[in-house]
Amino acid sequence: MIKSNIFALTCFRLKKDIRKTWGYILIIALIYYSIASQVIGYDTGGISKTLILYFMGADRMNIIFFQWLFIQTSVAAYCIYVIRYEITNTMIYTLMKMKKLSSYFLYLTMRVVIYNIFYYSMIYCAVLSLINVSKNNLNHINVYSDFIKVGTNINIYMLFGNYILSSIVFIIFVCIFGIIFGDISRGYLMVIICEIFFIFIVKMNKPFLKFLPLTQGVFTLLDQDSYTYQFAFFYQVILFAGALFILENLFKRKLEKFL
Amino acid sequence: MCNVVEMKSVAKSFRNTEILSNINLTVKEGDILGIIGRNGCGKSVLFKLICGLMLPTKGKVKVWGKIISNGNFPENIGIMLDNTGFIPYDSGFDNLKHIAVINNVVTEEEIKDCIRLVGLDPEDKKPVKKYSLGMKQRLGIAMAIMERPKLLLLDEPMNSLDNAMVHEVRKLLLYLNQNENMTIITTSHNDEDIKTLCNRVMKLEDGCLHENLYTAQK
Repeated sequence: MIKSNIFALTCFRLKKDIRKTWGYILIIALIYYSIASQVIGYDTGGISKTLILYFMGADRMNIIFFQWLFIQTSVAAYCIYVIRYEITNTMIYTLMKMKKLSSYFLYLTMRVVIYNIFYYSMIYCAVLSLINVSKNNLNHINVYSDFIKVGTNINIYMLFGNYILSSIVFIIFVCIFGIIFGDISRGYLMVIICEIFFIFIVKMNKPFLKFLPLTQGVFTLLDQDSYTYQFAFFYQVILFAGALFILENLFKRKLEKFL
Repeated sequence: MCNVVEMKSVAKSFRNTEILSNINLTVKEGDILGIIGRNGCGKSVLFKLICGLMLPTKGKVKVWGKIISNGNFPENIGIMLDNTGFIPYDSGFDNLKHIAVINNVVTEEEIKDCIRLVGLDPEDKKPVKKYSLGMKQRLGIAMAIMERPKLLLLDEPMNSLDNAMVHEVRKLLLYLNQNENMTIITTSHNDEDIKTLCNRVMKLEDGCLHENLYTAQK
């Protein structure tokens, strides 16, 4: 009964948010198209117009990481904005009606998960399909664009799952650090610094990457071995569950801080 | 008549500063309790303790006979706190609907009636961020009474309302108390509100609640 009501509220907000943010979605899709169409088709002997290539050179790892950072930042920033907004505006009243903090927590998690699924399945997929249609004979460095051509198989779900889980784990970490530091912006900065640092480590010692959080999105893009997707997926499911558990308990203990 | 709210030796501190030191309070069903006190004396904290939004440092709070614990909030309660939170870019109706879809016990028509009851137009598409203070206050009252809770907590509900609206809200609260047996706990800095509305008044001073003169007079 309670769960279905949470779902009703999530759907209600989803409809409102899409109506409110379609402009933002369109701008993100256009910017992503202009960046990705340069990067995905990158050929060492060809064009090198992007800022990434200008500053970081043609190292595949850098290109993928910066591409990933852009993909993830668009959805993570929006989800963090939604969480912050929700907590500062309607948390008290929603909590009182839901009667349980865990229900409210579930509602916020559902919103974040649905937004991520929507983002990756609609915007990301649409942009990459458009690139594939508009630019033929590209030297693909993004494995996902190959998948669109090859067709659906089990790995594409794993890959999608990895993207979605990776972004959600990122958001959860931002919230955890946000609660610890008392400010979600500081939490965001901290997690981004950690992510860049982890990627830096990965560049020096590749196998270590498999055990670091926040790197799995890049990891799946970088390594085309099908084992990688499955490993990263299950690793992130555990990470997601653990981080969510920590966040819920932290939120429960520090609830008074938000009032 | 059963006890709606029971507080025994409740204390609340923030970083070694004791806001409430020894609160003993019993509210019976059908009461309209007025709490008066100076700014910053802890009235809002007291409300948050009753709602379960804060937990006491010492003592226990019971609402409808159930002890308030971490992560669980009392049932059948409507609240309006001083910092009433709305989604600023949504209309008044959408804000109320946002809350109504959770329990799904009120229809759209009932939400509209509730908005009309506080003198607002339910068809008004203007976002809440463009509302005046008084309009936000009225919307807050509508949100609190929308699901016809059995316990209503109103933190300074008459703030920013014009005289005509103050009379309307007083009438509305008395109607809800008498006809729907709603128990109301309210705070106000206006003696007139307290005298007209409440059948029991308490003063919050130095972290303690004292039975007030008005109650003795009544």
